[in-house]
Amino acid sequence: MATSSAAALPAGAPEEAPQPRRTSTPLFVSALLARTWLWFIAGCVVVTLLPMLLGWRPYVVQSGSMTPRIDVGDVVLASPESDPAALLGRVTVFDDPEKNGLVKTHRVITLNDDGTMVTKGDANPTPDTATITIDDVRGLGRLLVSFVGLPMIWVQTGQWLFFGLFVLSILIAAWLVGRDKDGDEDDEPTDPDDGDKVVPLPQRLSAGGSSQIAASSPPADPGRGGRMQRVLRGTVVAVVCAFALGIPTTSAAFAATTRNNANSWSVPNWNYTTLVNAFGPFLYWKLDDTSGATAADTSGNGRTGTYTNSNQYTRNVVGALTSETPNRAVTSTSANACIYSSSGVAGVAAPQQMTSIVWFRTSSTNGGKLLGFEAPRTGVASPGNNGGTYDRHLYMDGQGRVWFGVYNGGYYTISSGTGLNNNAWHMAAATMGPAGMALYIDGVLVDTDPNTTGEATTGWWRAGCGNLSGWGTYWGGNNNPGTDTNTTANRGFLGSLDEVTVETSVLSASEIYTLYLAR
Amino acid sequence: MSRTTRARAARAIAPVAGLLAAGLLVWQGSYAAFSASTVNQGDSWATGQLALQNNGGNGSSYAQTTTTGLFGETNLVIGSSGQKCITVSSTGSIAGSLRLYRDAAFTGTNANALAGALRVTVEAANTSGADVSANCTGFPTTGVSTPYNNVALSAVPSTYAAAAPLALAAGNQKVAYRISWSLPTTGSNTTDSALQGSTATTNLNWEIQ
Repeated sequence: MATSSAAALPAGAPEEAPQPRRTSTPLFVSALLARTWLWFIAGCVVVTLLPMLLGWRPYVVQSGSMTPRIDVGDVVLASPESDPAALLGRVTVFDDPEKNGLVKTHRVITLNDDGTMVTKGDANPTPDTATITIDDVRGLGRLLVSFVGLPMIWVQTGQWLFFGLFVLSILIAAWLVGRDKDGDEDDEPTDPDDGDKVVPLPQRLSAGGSSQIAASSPPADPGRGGRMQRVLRGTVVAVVCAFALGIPTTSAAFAATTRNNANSWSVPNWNYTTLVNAFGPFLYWKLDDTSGATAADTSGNGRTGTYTNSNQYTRNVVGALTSETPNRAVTSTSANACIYSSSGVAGVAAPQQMTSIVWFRTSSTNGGKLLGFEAPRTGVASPGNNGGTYDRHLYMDGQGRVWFGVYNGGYYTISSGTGLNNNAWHMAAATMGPAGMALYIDGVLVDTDPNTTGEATTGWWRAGCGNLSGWGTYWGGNNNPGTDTNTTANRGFLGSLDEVTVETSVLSASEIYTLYLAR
Repeated sequence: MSRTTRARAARAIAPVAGLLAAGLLVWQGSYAAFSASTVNQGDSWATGQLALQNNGGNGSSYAQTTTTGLFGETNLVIGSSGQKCITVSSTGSIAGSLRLYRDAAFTGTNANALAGALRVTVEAANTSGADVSANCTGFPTTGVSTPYNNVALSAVPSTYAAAAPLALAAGNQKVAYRISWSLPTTGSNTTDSALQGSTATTNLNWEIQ
């Protein structure tokens, strides 16, 4: 801007010239304002770009979380900084640690012991949630040039009206200055009567003293040379401005956070007995009894069982619940062994929603009943006139497969499909309810049937024995009850039993699965 | 003073005035922004462009910047599930993108395994009436979006940038969040069993930018 125009006239020319070419006051004032405006813009651009010689980098601020101190459109000049301590409390330009490509300008408010830094926008109520490291830091804010980045912001945000006005102001200013100069160099014959003649002036933009130098130079072609110079000058300004528009942006992002702390989920060490009792069982015979005829009911409902002939069960054998102490079970020593509901236990209506669970262990191929609902309470009776009813039962066939059978005018059965008489503990769980019948082995669903109800009878639960006459179609291997000549045969289970549980509700698959995991 | 002299002087003054003004702009701006006296303007956000609070699952009178323990779920088994609601209030004067994310680390015994097994679904809806509290009564039935649908708790993003956005207009706004969780099987007895005794704790963060 400060380069001289070659279109210099002798300094003393205006005074000596007789013709009264004078600028009008409005033109003079507008040209003065126009010059000041252009110089102002040029000064801002230079101030913004000059520090780059020192390695400082300018950043246009895009958003206002540092207000009122740093506004949108300001340019922050940041110097490289590698010492975190120097950044404390200072406005810092850094790469967003969330790696989303943003460059942020916020204040460092805390230095953490691990070398990270907490940042915060002055206008934000809360600190930034992500901490930064020194590697994220681009620089320490040193200089702020207000407003200079606004044209760029206008372009970015599509505020073309503002940008257009800004460009227009430059064009008008340039035109005003140019017109002023034209008046210097060219005659204005168009308005001879007008007193507002433009007075020729030395073309120095700098102080008047330097016009002495200009005065010594020979007058050149004033019009042409001046225009060329101005075009060149304009080009330089345009290039600088375009470069200024290329200044990288930084966001002083508005942000606010709110939090709900200490949300926790915890899984206890599952305890089988606790879980079962939490379901509110109808009865729960843990079979931990070491002596006597009574199988205790852990449910608290007093529906105890009775061991037939105590000597037909070996007590205190190692049970299925390896995580529990004591872990006891019983083993039948006779196919006539049974655990009935005790004599004081009232018969109940057969449940239409139920879950029955029993753990068993055997290598026998005899099969036999594991757990079922039956009348009479003890012994067995044939159906019909003798009043024998028996269903909702889990039984093992001669191939070691476990079946769940419900009678409802027809036989509804589902089975494990594979033999489980491998001398290992297994958990059989059966459910019946509105969703139908389901059989789970070791916590895993193995078979279902859509039947939702069983025969409406009255009876008692029993484990380890019972009538199976009529169920021979659903049997494999030896000892098929279909070949029973005696319909009152008691199909005792030869093996170990543990954790006999009956619910009058349908446990979910995941509840049964968790029970298995809790063993 | 002749007009010519005046014009000459003016042309000399213009650059000085223009550059001086530019310099003043720099000096003044820099002084205000970077002077040491502006350290930690923790209480200077009266301009308050964005502000958030949440009710911690309680009523609106409980709204705080920080609340505690919407979820404190114990005695989980495989198949456990539940849901709770919380209302976030925004009083910002500009629009923004509201996002829910968790803290980067889970705390607690074997926390990462449990956080990997837990599933969460997060639904959000603008609500104009009373705050929706923990029991979810009054959770909106329309305008419900689902930022996270049955993802592992550990898969809920832990940064604002990665979190699912919810556009929020300027002015007083309330957003009700319904957070449903479940603990399904991982598909492995061994892995499921190993969840016993584990706890996963995290903070839930809502941020608007």
